[in-house]
Amino acid sequence: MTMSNHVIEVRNLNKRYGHVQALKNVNLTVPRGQIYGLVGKNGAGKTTLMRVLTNQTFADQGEVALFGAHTEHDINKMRRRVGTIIEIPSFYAFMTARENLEFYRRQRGIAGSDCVDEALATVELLDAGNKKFKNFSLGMKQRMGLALAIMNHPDMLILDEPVNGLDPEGIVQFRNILLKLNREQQVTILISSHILAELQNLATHYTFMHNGAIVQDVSEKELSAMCQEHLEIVVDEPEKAATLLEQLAGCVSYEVLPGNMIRIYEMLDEPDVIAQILIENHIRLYSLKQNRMNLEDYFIDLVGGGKNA
Amino acid sequence: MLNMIGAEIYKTRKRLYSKIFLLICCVLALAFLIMMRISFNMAYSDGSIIDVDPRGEMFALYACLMMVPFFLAIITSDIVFSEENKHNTMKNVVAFGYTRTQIYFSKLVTALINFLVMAVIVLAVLVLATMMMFPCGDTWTFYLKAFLVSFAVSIPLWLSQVAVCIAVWCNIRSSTFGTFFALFLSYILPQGLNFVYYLTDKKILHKIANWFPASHLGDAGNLNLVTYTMNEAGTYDVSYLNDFSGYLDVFKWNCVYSLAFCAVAVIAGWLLFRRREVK
Repeated sequence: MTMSNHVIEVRNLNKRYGHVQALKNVNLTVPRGQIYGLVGKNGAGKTTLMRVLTNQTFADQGEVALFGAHTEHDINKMRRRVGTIIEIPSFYAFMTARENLEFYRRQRGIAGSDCVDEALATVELLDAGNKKFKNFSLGMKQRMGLALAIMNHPDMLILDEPVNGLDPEGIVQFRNILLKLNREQQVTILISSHILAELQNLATHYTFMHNGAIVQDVSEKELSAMCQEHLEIVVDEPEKAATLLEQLAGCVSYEVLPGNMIRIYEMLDEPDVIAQILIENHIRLYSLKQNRMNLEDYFIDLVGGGKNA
Repeated sequence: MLNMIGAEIYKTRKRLYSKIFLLICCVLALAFLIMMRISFNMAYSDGSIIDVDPRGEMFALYACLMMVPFFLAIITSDIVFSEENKHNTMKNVVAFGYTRTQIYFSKLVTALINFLVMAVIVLAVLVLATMMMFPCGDTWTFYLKAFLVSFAVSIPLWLSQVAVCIAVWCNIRSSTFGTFFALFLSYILPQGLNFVYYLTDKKILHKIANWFPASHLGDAGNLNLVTYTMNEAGTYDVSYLNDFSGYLDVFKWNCVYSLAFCAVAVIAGWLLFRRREVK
């Protein structure tokens, strides 16, 4: 791996808040041009990680590199190539949208004020340019955050829950903007979201976090392979059913889940055989259906359920 | 950092707070002048205004009010800083790669500029309104000069208050608590030390209090530029000293105390702010 191929490199990052270990030996590399989805429950450490990357907070231990830069001075220079949305976007309530962006344009030394209206137009806030930020809805605030993030044409975006508060149309629009930036300008994106279905439409890689640690880091292709099709049955005696399936059908790739549910990853073309075995052995079969795991199921499985395979 | 200062000045100009504050200062100054003018009219309604120089007396009065801008410095600093903690806008700045050092010093410079601009505007309104509203005698130019010199030599003391406010607000999230803490540090503490000194005669307390700029707010107004000598007729001859060199000494020490105090405030504030987490 060469340094120049990675936009973000994190090594052994640790961060503690009082008694809570918010980040535990986090290691992460984000290659150029990818869309990295950061998945985790509330309190998993996603926001803390992003806050360390954006210099809002300081890690207790570990190293961060941005665009190959390792020293604090160089990293701060590289941050100018990064656009961010961390939690709820913050702007000055007494200024209009246009004035807020103009303030940041001046602060960032961006030449030419056209970029302000361009950014507002991209997020469809041009008509609201003269409206004071305090009068914005939550969705408008989120779009304003994106406008600021893209105003200086960054090479990377770090986005923490950016679609919170957006209506379905807004979410689709937001996604399309990100995809366009990624495809046309090779903007690398690190994005976290609770709306896993939406993340599934966007990400090329997934990083799963739990209790401050990264538990898995997979590409979209690998995840698709793992979220394989399966048969899902609900019975009255799952342990007995599982034993019968092993002994009588030779079925070994399955997992028993809460709620008397069993997921079977083989014999997908033989649901009738499975049903027959169960019924003949006096197991009550409440439901049988064919499913494919989505990102949400995979995540819940990863941090909560166990697998027998 | 110039970009940051320019942006901060842009933002300060956009705030209604700045305009309202300036308006209130000017309105209060004018209201004060109107009250004083009415008082003069009532006092000299019999026309015996020959030996009195109302305009000169007003300027002499202003020279004794050099502590007022010291407290107004708190508000001019608040104009620059107050929205940051409330709306957590600092995260946008640190995320872009500006260091906390750059943020701190750009806020400080902007607050200093903001204070000076507002002070000059209010001064101009005050002087022009006084000249328009009060009839003059022979001595008003002398008192105007004394007032302007008092104003100039007190500027370092006021600017030190700006530095304390920025140091406190950069590190304390609550603007209200920060304001009281800044006031305590810069004004109440030295007054308290002097009070205890008067009670206990412990000279060290007075020496410590002397290093606070607030202890010198009255120094410019205490210079005796006017002397009264009793004559044979039993009245007083008034002589006006045109030697303002005494102010140089006051200015020198005001600069020493203010710079020392500023240096401590700025360094302490900066060192604490460097490790502040932006939440």
